[in-house]
Amino acid sequence: MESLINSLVTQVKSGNREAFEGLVEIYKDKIYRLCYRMVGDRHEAEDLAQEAFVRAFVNIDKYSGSYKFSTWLYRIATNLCIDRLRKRKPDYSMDAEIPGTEGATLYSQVADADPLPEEEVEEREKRDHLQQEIMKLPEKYRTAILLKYIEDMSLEEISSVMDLPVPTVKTRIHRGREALKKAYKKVAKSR
Amino acid sequence: MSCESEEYMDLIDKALDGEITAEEQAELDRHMESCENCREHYHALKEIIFEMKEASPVVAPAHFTENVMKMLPEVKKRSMPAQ
Repeated sequence: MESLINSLVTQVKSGNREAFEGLVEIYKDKIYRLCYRMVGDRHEAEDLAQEAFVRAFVNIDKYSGSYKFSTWLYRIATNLCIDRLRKRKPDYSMDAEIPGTEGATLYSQVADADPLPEEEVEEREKRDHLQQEIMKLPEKYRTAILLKYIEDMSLEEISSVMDLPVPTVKTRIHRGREALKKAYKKVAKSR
Repeated sequence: MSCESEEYMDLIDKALDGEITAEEQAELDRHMESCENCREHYHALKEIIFEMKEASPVVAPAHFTENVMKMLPEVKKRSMPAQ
């Protein structure tokens, strides 16, 4: 897989547009998912993921190959998401309706079309809730938590994506999951 | 904080990070047998991690690749600013 990716990157660098299509195909789900988990809105996620790929294409000569192409791509995507979240802030309140709830609509549509067993509905509610809690995390914890648990990256990789030392990444993961645990507990109790 | 002892909190973090030694794990297990707080803390964190990993798959929308390809600048310029 790595050699295929490197070969595609080389082809794009030498001006082969079509080769970029291969790279988009390989990474589109991962990058879209990361954007969705970061911003909690499908349309925004699509927009951001597309922009990430366009930027990667335009700046492909800046990718040196000293780390994995995916790391570079993830870095572009997380930075775009963080920028977007920061711009959103003025009219973005922690208590306001959470954009992450859009996922709930998606799930409800599926549920309407084909009634689900009760346990599955509960399971989905739990996941929607988790996405909402992830959305409430400060972005620095959110990024670390998502890369670690949703993208299953190693601490070293996350450290390259976030451009932070490994111990800092670790601390953010610990604090992030601690915060999620607290939020989760509160809801479990109120049920 | 679930338990008075920072030491066990560190061990729990280590266990969840997959960095705990067999010896430390045994020590943590022994402690958790008697300490309900730590036991709860550990299992709650484990559940959160499990939930996150199990989170339903999200895939890119239809025509994603096609749309990206359409958005690419016509001629790839060598030195476009990164912004």
